Amino acid sequence: MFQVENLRFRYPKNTTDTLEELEFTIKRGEIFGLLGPSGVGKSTTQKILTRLLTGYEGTVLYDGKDLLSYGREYYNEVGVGFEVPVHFSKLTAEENLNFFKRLYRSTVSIDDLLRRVGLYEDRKKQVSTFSKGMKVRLNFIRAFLNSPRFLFLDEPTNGLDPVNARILKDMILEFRDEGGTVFLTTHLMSDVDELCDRVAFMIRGKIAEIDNPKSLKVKHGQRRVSVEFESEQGVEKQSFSLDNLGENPEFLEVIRNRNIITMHSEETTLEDIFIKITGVEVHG
Amino acid sequence: MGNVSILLAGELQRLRRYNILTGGFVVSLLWVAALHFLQTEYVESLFTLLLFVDIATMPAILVAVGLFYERDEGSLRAMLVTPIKHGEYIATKIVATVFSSLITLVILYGYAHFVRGIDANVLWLMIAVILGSGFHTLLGLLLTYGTRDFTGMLMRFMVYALVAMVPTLLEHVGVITHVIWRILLYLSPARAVAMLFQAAVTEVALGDVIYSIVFLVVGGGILYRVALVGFASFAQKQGGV
Repeated sequence: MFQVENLRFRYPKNTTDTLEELEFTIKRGEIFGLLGPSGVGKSTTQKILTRLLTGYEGTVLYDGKDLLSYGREYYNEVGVGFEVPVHFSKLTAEENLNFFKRLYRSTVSIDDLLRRVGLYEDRKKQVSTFSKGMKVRLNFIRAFLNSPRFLFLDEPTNGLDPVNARILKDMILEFRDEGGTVFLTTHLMSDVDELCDRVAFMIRGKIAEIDNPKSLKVKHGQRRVSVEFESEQGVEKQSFSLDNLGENPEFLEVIRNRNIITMHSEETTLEDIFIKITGVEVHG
Repeated sequence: MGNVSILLAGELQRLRRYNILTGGFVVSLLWVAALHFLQTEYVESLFTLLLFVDIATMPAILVAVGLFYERDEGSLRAMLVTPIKHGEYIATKIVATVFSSLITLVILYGYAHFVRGIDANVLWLMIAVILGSGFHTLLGLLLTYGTRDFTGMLMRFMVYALVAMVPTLLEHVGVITHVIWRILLYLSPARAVAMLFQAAVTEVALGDVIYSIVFLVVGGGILYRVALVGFASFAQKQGGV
């Protein structure tokens, strides 16, 4: 759906490029995650794809056509959820949504969206009285107002409690299952793990690695299983290779004769992969 | 046109909620209060003078306040990712401030006519308000682009007021009489607006009136083009450039 080739961008006041020969594709019907440390160019990439930034070098194709060849009708197809909630603070939640809905000539039910994220009862309240989480949820559903084919979501669950984060994640998955495509940037590796069909790690304005989370975990993890069991010395932990595990006498001895406490494959986490690829700790 | 009507409804709703329209209304009442304490013979000349000051200042200030609210709250960014065109956005700002200026006209002329018995050509008053307010809305937009905050915009506007408005007022009260200055004042949009207001209450040379209208229409057209180009750059800044 999006094809990005040799994308290069430099902010006017900078001396170096923020994006350097960035290349990736986003396939129709997938949730594509773009990850990387702060300042690496994730938001810049999203701003280019949402056409908030122009003046780039390289090629960005949307549905096979140059992104810049589209008129304003492009925004009838895409929904954008900004990282920081952006609302008219002195209007109510309902008034905010109604204003944007009219601009899209949309027939989406605002009440349904508000009910889905638990804001229906607060729809008549001024947004300035909302908590951060409420603003985030309102921000999120505004991206759905035009029944988009493509969603841009920047840290969609940031600042939400687990229950509300779950609701938003379910909505993203439903959107994908109904044929929608999602471009997601986030620092929350649990979100990436749950949502993304493919992820790309960015460092210094380039894509360092791109694959589906499962393959990345297999690639960067170890083909081993660790077993915690009771022994004469107390609790003992041993690690075994997954290769020919069923014929490994030590492993067989442990599972036959010992009381097993835990048993885990040693596949790595996305957080470990993030740190390994980018060299930066995850803060989220 | 469809988007403009939707944008306009939203703009007027926000002007009301953010008390921007109320601010304009209060200023109008202050003008009425000022007129109230004057003898009727002074009201006739001062009423158009106050209208001139209002129309040459308030639209620029109102549009700047609205734009800064939208920028600071980020709602401008949200609008930039909708199908509205930049021209529609600017047109909405113009129509909304002209609407506000027409309310001012109704209040001031309403008082001057019904309370103080002043007669004026309403058509000329309306032409002056529409052209003057539209022109100064565009000027306000241009002065807002590139400024960090409202104070910065006001500083720029003060320069405009000193260069264009003050000499017009000085000419109006007879301080500036030299022919060179009077010719130079033909370059001032403020004077063009003042001339149209004057035409509503006294005899003014037809050439002057036509010149003022053409000046504001053509100048407004040029300002619109510049404001449109400037808005594209302003919008990029919302993207972080």
